[in-house]
Amino acid sequence: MKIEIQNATKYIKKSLILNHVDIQLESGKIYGLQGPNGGGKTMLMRLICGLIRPTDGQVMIDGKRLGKDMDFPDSLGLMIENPAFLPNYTGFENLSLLARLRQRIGPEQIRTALADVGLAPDDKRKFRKYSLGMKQRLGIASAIMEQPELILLDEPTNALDDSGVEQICQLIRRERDRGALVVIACHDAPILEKLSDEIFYIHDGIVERKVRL
Amino acid sequence: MKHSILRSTIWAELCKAMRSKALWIAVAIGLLFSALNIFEGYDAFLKAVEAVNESRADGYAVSLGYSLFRAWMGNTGSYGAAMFFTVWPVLAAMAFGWSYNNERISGVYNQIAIRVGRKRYFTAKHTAVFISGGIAVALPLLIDLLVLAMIYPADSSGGFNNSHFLCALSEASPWGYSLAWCGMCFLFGGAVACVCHVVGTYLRHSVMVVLTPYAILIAIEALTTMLRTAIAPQIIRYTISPFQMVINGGWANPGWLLFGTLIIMTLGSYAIGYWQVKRHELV
Repeated sequence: MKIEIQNATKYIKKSLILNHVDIQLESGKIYGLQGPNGGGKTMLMRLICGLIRPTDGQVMIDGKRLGKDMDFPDSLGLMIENPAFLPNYTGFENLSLLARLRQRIGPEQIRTALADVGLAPDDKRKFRKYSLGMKQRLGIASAIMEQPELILLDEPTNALDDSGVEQICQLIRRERDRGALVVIACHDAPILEKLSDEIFYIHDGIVERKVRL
Repeated sequence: MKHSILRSTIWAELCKAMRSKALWIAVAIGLLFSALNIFEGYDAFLKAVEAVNESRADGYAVSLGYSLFRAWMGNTGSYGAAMFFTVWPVLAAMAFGWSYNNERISGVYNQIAIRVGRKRYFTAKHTAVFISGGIAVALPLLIDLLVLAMIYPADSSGGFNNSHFLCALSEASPWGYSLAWCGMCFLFGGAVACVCHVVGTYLRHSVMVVLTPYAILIAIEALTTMLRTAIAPQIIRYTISPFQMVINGGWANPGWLLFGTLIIMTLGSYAIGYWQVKRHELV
């Protein structure tokens, strides 16, 4: 998979959110988005996955224009901001409901994804009873369970303890090694530097610094 | 492949609707009105039965004068029925009509939309909202009919105000007619829920989303009443107010008007919502 963001600018209610962003992303790499709050990290993620469309410029995925030739990338796993699920469903039920939509995976893969993030597949607690850390883990499980080609994770280590952070870092590396293109936004610079193959620094909607590690 | 994704999305949305507490709360509220309707007439009915039994014991042939179809919430003027037919649009909307708006705000929308696309998600949601809104309105009516059937005789004479769509059926088959009217209420409940669904693509506050269709229906009701009064009440036999349309026999509404209104509400709201969803951005 190859993603090309070509001179993309985004205005929301006259305020400039992304300013002439011009980057390329390729499969088999972890890309880190770093920058201050409100700098445009999450908006760049939303742009990459098609939740928002650029005011100017375009996002090309494998030569197809996002928002014109396709609504969303065909193989996408996503966790943006707070993990959102149905509160009266268990974690397994939530993932089953999502998996049933495209029918690409079965219950076994869902169980594996839950176990991979450190959640018990047979936990009968409803999502609303989950702790913040458990919600975060479930969000990551939903993003990776279908083994997508593109994975976008916004602050994946939020609310996780040290062992949880390490577990998720290993998981992200495993997804990269599988061939997925992973984009992570994280305010924790050491974690981002440890994980990423390439880091984009975003400030006021501008990709200011590009560091190849 | 596309068809299969749409089908599985509709199925998933229906599962969500059936597990929604709000749907069953709406049905429970409808059943409260049904219970009120049943208890309102029950004492008088027992006294009438007693009186008839005494008269028959004296050798007189006396008709009971009570009928299942006249006591049914869909065809009576009891307080329970009046209250039900005042709030049914709220029940229809609160069942599942708010869910699109709720999922858009919570972020569940993202999880589903990236997997199936915005348009399929909207279509599936519209279908589930329609069905759940219909259930919230039709189920209390149906249960009321079935419970009353255990109490009242199924005597159709004088049971219906025969002046409107399906009135011929009310003579030939009062049971068929009552069930068909439950179906009609199902369609109207679904149509109002669809309007609520589309309001949810514009507004963000759940309570406003649920109440806006009700406000729209009240405005239509007020407008039609004013027009009717201003023009000529004796010559206007039809109404375009959905409030009046679900009250069977209240008006001489023909089928084409009822179904036309349903199509406008359901497909019109779908078209408006689809257009809105196509340009949705989730910021």
